[in-house]
Amino acid sequence: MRYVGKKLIALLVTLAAISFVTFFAFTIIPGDAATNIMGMDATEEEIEALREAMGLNDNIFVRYGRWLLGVLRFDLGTSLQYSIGVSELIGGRLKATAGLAFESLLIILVLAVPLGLLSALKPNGALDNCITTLTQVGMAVPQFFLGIMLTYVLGVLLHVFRMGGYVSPGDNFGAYISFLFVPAITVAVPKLSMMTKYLRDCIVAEKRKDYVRTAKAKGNDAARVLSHHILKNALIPSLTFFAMIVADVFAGSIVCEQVFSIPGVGRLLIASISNRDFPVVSAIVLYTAALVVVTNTLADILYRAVDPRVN
Amino acid sequence: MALLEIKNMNISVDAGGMEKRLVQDVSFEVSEGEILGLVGSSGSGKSLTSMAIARILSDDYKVTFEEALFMEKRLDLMSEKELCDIRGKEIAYVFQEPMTSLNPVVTIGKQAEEPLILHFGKTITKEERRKTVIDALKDAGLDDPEGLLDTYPHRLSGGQRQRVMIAMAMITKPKLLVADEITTALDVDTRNRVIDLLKHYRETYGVSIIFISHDRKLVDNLADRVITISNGKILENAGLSDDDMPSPTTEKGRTRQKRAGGLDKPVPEPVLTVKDMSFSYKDKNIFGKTEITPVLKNVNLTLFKGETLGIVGKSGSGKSTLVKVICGLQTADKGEVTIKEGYEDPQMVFQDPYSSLNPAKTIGKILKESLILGLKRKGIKPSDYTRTKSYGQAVMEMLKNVGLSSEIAFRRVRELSGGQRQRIAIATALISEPKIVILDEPVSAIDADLCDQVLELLSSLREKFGLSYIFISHDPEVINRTCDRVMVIEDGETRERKK
Ligand SMILES: Nc1ncnc2c1ncn2[C@@H]1O[C@H](COP(=O)(O)OP(=O)(O)O)[C@@H](O)[C@H]1O
Ligand SMILES: [Mg+2]
Repeated sequence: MRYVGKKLIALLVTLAAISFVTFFAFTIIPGDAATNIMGMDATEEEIEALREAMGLNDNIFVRYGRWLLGVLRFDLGTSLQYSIGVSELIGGRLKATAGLAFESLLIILVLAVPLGLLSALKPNGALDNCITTLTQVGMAVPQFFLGIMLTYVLGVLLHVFRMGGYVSPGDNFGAYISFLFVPAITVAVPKLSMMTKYLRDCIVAEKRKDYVRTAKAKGNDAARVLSHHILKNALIPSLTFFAMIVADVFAGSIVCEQVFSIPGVGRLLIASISNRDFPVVSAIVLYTAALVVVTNTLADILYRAVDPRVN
Repeated sequence: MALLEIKNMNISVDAGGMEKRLVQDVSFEVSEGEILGLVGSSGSGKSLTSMAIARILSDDYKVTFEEALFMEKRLDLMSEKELCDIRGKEIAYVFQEPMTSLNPVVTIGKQAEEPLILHFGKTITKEERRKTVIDALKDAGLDDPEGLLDTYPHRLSGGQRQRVMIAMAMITKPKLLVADEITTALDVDTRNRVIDLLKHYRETYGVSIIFISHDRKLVDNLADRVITISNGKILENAGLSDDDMPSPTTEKGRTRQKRAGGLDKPVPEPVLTVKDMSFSYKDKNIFGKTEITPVLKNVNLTLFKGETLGIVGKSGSGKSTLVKVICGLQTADKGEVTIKEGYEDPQMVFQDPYSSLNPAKTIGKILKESLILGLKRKGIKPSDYTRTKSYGQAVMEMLKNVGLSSEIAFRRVRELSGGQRQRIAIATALISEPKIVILDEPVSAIDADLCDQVLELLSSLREKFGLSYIFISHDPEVINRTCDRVMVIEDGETRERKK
C-alpha cells in the first residue's frame, strides 16, 4: 500500500514536470498564436492588441499557471484551425483512436499467448521456425504497405471491407466496430509479432530452469508443466512489455489513421502540426506523455501484485 | 527381489550429427529399504544416470536400456502417460539446487500438495490434503508448517527449501527416493540434519534411497552399499566400501545399517545463545530529543561448546555492537543473551592491541591487573586464588602458553613487535580463565606470516583450554580457514552462511 502511495506521488511529480516542459517548449517555438489568427496582412497594432487580450504578454510562469489550471479543468484552450475547444476536439477524435486501440489490443492478447506457447513448445522445431519467421516479417513490414495490401485484398478483391467507411460509434456502433477491425489488424501485426517473440523467448528461458525439472519429477505431464508452472513465470516479465504496447496503441497510429482515413488523434496531430495549431499539438503531446507515464505506473503496481519476489 | 533393476543403461546426445556417449552400460539394482550410495566426481554422469531412471531427462538425450525393472514393471517400455503416474508417486526426486528447484511464484502449500492432486486427485478432500501437507512439512523438520503454506520460496533459507523439497518428494510415500547431491549446497550443520532426516524416512516408511554425492565419506556414512561412477561408467568393485558387499537383508548388512545409524556425532552443546535480540543506540541530539539508531534487528545465534563461530560483515554492519551486547557492555532493547552456567564472563581480544593496552605499564603488571579484575567479576577472593598459585606464576604460565618468554613481563607495550602485542592481547583475555573468547578482528592489523602464527596459536589454545570462540572478521579467507560455522551480519540482521 505504501508502495502504491509512493508510486502515485512519483506519478504526479512526473506529470507536473511533463506539463511544464510541454508548455515551455511551445512558448519558445517561433511563430505566435496571435499572428496566426490574424493572418499575415494584419497590422502590428491589431496583433499586439490581440496578444494583450490573449494574455500572451504575461510572465511565463503566470501563463503556465493559467494554462495548468485550464488543463486541470479539461480546458485546454481553443483550436486555432477548428475554432472549437481543444478537449472537445480531442475527445471526439479519441473515440476513433480508442476503438482502434481496444480492437488491436484484443487481437494482440488473444493471439500472442497461444502463438508464443506454440512456438516455445519445441524450440527450433518446424512450428517454432515457422512462427518466428512470421513474426520477423510482421515486425519488418511497413504499416502503410500492410494497410494498403489489406485494403486491396479485403476491399477491392473480396468486397468485405469499405475504404474510408468510418462511422462514429454514436451513429452505428456495429459498423464502427466492424470497420475498425481491418485497421486494427494493421496496427496489431507488428506489436503482436514483438509480443509473440518476447513471450516465446521468456518461455524458452523458463523451460531450462530447475523448478521445471522439479515439476516434471512430480508427475506433471508436459502440458501441465507449461500451464501450471512455466506460464505464470513467463507472463510476469511480459507485463511491462505489454504496458508499453498499450501506451503506444492509445497514442494513435499516424500511419494507420492516414491510410484508412480514420479521424483519430494521430491524424489530428499531423493536421495540427502543419497548421501550427499549438493548443492542439501541446494537448496531444501532453496526453501522449501522460499516457505513457500512467500505463507504466499501473504496470509497475500490477507487477508487484503478481510477483511475490518483489515485496 | 530388487525394487529397481537397471541393466545396461546408455545415455547419449547428438553432438553435431555424431552420437556422443555420456553414460555407458551402467547396471545396478536397489533393494527394498536399501540406501544405495552413488559416488563419482563432478561430471561423471551421476545426475544423468539418476534422471534417466524415471526418464525425466529432456528429449535432447537418448536413453536406452537392456531392461529397466521397477516393481516388476518395465520402465523402459512405458508410455509417457504411464511414466507420469509413477513419477512423484512411486519414484520421487530431490535435487542439488534448493534455491532454484522450487517455483518462485507459487506458494509452498500449493507446490507441496501438487503430487497429491496429480496422483490422488478427487479421492482425497481439500482438508485431508492440507493436513497431509502440514504433516509432511512437520515430518521434514520444518517449524510452523501452517505458516509456510502461504509463503513463497524466496522467504526461506536454503536448508528450509531443501526440507520443503524433501517433504514434497515424500508426501506420496514413494517406494524410491532419488536424492541427487541434496546436501552439497548446504552448510555442515544443516547437512547433518538432512542426512538424519533421510535415515528417519528409511526407518519409518521403509523407502529405498539412491543417495548421490561426490563426497565419498558422506556416502560411506549413510549408504548400505556404494557404487562408484567415473566417466559415465560404473567402476568394477571399486564401490565396495568394506571387504565385501553386504545387502541389507543379510546379517552383516543389518549390523552395518545399525552402525551407520549410530555413527552420529554427539549432540553439540550450546554455551551461548542470543535470541531475537535487537539493539539501538539512543542519543540525545542538540534539541534534547532522543534519536534512535537501530543497529541490530532480531539477531539469533548459538555458540556451541568447543567450536569457532565466525561472524562476517562489512564495517558498520553491527559486529562490534553485537560483541558489546554479548559481553554485557551494552543492554539489549529486546531479546536475550543466555550464557550457560560455568561459561560466564566471556573475554575479548581486540583488533588493535596497541591502543587497548596501557602503554605506561609493564606487561607483567597489565596481565596481573586483568587477572585481578577477572577474579573480582567472578567473586573469587584473591586469597583463595593465590592459595594454588601466585599472581607471578600465573603471569609466567600465561606468557608461556601464548609462546612468549618470561622476560617479556618486564617490557612495555611499545617495546614489543606487532605479533608479540597480539599475543599479549590474547594473554590478557585468557588469564582470567574464560570459557568463551570473542576475537574481534584479531589478525587484521598484522601481516600474513604473523597472521598464520596467531591463528595457529588460537586453535591450539582452544584445544588446550576447551574454549569456544566467536571470531569476527571482515576477511572471508581468514574466516573460512578458522571457523566451523559462519554467520553473516548484514544491515543488523544475521543469517547462517552456506559453505
Ligand atoms: N547436452 C549435453 N551435451 C553434451 N554433454 C553433456 C550434455 N549434458 C551433460 N553432458 C555431460 O555429461 C557428463 C555427465 O553429467 P552429469 O550427470 O550432470 O554429471 P554429475 O552429476 O556426475 O556431476 C558431463 O561431463 C556433462 O558435461
Ligand atoms: Mg550432478
